[in-house]
Amino acid sequence: MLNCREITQQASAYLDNRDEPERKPDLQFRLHLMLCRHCRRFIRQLHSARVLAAKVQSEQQRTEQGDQTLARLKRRN
Amino acid sequence: MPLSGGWIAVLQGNVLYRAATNHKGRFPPLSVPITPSSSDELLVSAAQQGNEAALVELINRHQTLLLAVARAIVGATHAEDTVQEAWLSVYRCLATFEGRSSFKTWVVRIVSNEAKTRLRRDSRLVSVDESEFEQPDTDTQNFNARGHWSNPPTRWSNESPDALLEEQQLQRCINKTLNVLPERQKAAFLLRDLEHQPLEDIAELLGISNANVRVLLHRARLTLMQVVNHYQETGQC
Ligand SMILES: [Zn+2]
Repeated sequence: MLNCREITQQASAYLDNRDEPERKPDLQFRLHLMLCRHCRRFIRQLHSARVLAAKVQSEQQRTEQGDQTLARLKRRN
Repeated sequence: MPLSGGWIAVLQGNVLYRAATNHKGRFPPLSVPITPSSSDELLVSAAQQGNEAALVELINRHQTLLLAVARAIVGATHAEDTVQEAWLSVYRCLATFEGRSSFKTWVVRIVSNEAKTRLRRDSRLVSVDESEFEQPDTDTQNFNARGHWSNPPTRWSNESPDALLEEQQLQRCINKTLNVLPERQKAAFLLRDLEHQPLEDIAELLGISNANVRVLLHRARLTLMQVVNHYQETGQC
């Protein structure tokens, strides 16, 4: 039986597997989550944090370096 | 240049038009100026016809990801040069791009290859910090000797990412943290949680094992979760 510390260590791997339906579900892991509300909360919060951070990052992905980069390319080509 | 969905891109002057292939001549072409919302496919096909504004937009849109991937492989000092070199290859080979993968996938791969080539040429480029690949210590203070919670996670006022996104100060805290994440963690995070790439592809791109990608991702996400935790407790970063 996995303990809570092990659950937190494998939490990211669990989230990544959960995203890919063809991977088989980790029964031991899910059994623990059914029985342990602290670990359920941990997983929910880890998931929320990564989705939140991805949204924050996506708003600043865009740069304005295109003109400058292209100018350098044309000088070298 | 045919596009998906029965559209062709038509370039007139500096404006890219989109015309339906099945209604050719019957309706006036739908004008699609190059904007941040133009699709990559449209921009690529315009760039292939020599439209510079389209290429500029492609660079603006993908530069951050490319720099992150380059930094993860050759380190911050040489990342810009690496990406510049990759864009030069793109510039020269754009005509040969057939769209079998997405443009983004193609260009990320070019950056990864360019970075790995540099690394092979000069192995001193990256100071090898293997400690980043060790499993992060889960604080001993959070668990008792049997590995059960002694200090369980506390409630957040709201766990929905969209609700959390409303908090301006929290956004600033997350931003700050993202900007100081170690290079490899940042790249792994971007490729996985933003770009949703398979772990195996990320490992290949960054030149590390699947297990190490998992460790990087876990470290990055734990750090981000701690930022939210701290914000929930204090209202500050
Ligand atoms: Zn538990």
